[in-house]
Amino acid sequence: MEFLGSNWIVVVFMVVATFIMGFAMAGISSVVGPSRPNKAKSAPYESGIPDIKPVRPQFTARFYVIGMLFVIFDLEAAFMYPWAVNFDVLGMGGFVHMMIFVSLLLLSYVYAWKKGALEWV
Amino acid sequence: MTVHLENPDWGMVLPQLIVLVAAIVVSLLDAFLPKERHFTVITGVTLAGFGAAIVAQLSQRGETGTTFHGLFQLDGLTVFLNLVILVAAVLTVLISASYVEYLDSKMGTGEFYTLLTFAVFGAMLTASAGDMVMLYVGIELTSIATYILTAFAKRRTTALEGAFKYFLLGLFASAILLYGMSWIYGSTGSTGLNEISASLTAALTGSEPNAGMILGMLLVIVGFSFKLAAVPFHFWTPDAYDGAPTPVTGYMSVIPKAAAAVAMIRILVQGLESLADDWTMVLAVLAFVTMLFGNIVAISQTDVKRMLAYSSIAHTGYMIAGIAAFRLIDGMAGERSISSVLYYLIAYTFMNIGAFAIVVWVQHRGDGTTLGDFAGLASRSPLAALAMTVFLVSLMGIPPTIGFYAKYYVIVALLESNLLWLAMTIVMASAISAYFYLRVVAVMYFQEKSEDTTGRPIVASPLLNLGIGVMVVGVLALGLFSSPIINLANDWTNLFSVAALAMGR
Amino acid sequence: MSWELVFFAVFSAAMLLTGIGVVALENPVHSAISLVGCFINVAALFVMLGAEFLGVLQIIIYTGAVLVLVLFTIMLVDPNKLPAFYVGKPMQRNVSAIVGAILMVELGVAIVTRVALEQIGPHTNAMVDQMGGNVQAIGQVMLSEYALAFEVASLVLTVGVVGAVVVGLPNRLGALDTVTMSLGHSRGAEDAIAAGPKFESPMNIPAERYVAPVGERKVVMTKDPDKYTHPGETSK
Repeated sequence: MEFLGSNWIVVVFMVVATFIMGFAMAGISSVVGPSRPNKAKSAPYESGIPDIKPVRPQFTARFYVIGMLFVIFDLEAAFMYPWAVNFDVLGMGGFVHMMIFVSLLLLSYVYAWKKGALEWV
Repeated sequence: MTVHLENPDWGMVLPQLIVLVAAIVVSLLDAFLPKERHFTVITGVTLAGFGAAIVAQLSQRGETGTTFHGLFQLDGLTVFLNLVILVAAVLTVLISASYVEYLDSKMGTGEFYTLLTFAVFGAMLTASAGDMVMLYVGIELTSIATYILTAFAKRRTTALEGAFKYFLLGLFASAILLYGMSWIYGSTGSTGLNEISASLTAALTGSEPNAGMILGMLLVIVGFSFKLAAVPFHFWTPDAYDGAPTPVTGYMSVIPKAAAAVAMIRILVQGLESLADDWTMVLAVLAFVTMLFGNIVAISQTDVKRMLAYSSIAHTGYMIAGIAAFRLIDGMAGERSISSVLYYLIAYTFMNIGAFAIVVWVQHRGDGTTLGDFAGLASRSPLAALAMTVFLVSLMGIPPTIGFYAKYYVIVALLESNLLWLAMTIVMASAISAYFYLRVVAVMYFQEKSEDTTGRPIVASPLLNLGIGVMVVGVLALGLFSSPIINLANDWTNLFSVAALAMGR
Repeated sequence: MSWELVFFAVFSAAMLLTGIGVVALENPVHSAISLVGCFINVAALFVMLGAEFLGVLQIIIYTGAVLVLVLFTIMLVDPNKLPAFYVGKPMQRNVSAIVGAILMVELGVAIVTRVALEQIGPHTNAMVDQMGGNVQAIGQVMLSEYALAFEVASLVLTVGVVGAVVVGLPNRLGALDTVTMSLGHSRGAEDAIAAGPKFESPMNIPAERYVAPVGERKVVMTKDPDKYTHPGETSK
């Protein structure tokens, strides 16, 4: 079958390996590590009253700015990926184009930095 | 497979390059310059950039060609539209300077001009695009910057509401536009406008257009109608225009609209000219509805800013009517239709930004934007009232102002294309518009202001005054001496020779 | 039965289950995580169809970027108001059910009546195969023919950053003067008392109820006596 013969099988192996490693790290520590719970230990807050409603606080809008900046620079990766795959074929011309692209984004990074969007005050 | 990388012709993209450099410099100054020197330096750099770009653009008159694999096209349409956009940009800087300076403690000069220069850059790229991908990217750059400028006064809830509506509906419009473009690509196999035209002409000789082409054409028209604020796709307009800071309203009623209009002309006239019989019909109906609706709803507005928003919807209708007058006569395009639209754009730039400039001027004197705030303006400041009268009379279309000549050229183009009914509608719509434009004039001259509400300090605004003066002169002079502008506008037909040259290559 | 069919069954079943999870789970954060699973399975289906580039974009953009925004949005909503918001009004639910049904019927009709159009223009399947796959083809076309649009796309992203700064930042701290007070300085303590309560990191205070005590200045406390600035002065 062509599907399995293609080099995507490598990707499948990688995904499987990643899952196994991730679960193994979490799983082994819970099996091997000592676990002696008692009532005081598993109380939600050691020296206070138990919570009566959901404890998740409302976040400030500042988190959202960070989120948006993350999305914008994440999209940059989407543009870089096809360039990286074609690095050999595109050669110097492609490299120059990519450098212009990246330096324009570097400009926006510097802008956000100087404007204090990355500071946490 | 080797990749062919073209060495671009940098001289051809010089005006755009100047604006791009200005945008980058402004954003860096915004980030690094000490706060106290922001206003003078950044306003100066912005104006210098636009001025240099105007000079560069004027020197390109009569030149034609394509570069960047056909993504960039230089022809008469490019030159004219870029000049309109740059002039509008300079006027925007003039009318927003005092506003930005006044609010400088709360919001930055730098951000404002950064966004403005990027928006102008996007609009200029749209005007010089020879490819649908480039058109889309240019329009998006302009639109996104405009969404943000709309929300600039973000402490006001109306600003946020307007920006939010504009943003969501604008995204819908972009998606519809892109969908239409993908249908056109699917049925012609190319994104380049000249290639689309050639492929369509070949496919349509002796056969009917297929459903994919028609669907693509309709979706593209719908997408641009959103951006142009044509009825029935205008719902965002009143709230966005009302919520945005007034100088921004002046800007967004011209530059994004000019970009959308030129993109529409590019796709329909340059790309889909073989389908002209179909799209002129659609546009004629669109223009009819837009003109009547905009003018009739404007009657009931008591807020001058909102009234001007509906008036700008009506003016979109006049421009679309000009595009609808496009005809192919023996395979050749008649030049009148698009020239009239181009002339209309420059007229609209002067009179509409002018009207908003007076609203800014009145707001600086501690008033709002309702009709009551304009009451007795003639006795308080006769010059401002006179200037407002000139702009309103021009918007109405009374000789000898530029607005009259603009409507006149559109009507002549319509009559030449046997669209008598649409020409009659323009006359009728102008008659309706007389009511609400003249009402403002009457309020300014014959009504006394009931109570004195001036609590805010008067803002010194030399640049605003300069801008208003320039626009008054423009409105009065450019109409009487319209032949150089019309000559420049007539150059748009050389886009077909560029197409022929590009396809022959 | 071929392996391809098995994989297809596994991926699409997982996609459906996680998709149902998005609407059925009580906790919105769990819904968002379920959406991640859904997106990853969609990406897998794209890859199986030979659209590797779409699959990769699905992971980079949707699971990477969009999901982050979804999670942030959930975090921004007041948790006490969330249940009412989450369930929606009966009217909304009915309308969305009807619209969903219509879209499903449309898709079904499209699948049943589909016709393969002739591929015209230069970018055909044959060309893509010759270039070695669609990631290769897109990359080469994007950086040669469409290079200008590619560069302008980065400007669109730049404008997005400027927009995030303009609209998103709650306080324009850059526009405010900063007063640094030091308890190590002889006058630091009195100034600190005179300045009133500190107003650092207003995590849970709504913007309209938040009043800065010293005009519109930001007060920073340090231990270093050299960093002291008098409240009358400003520092950069």
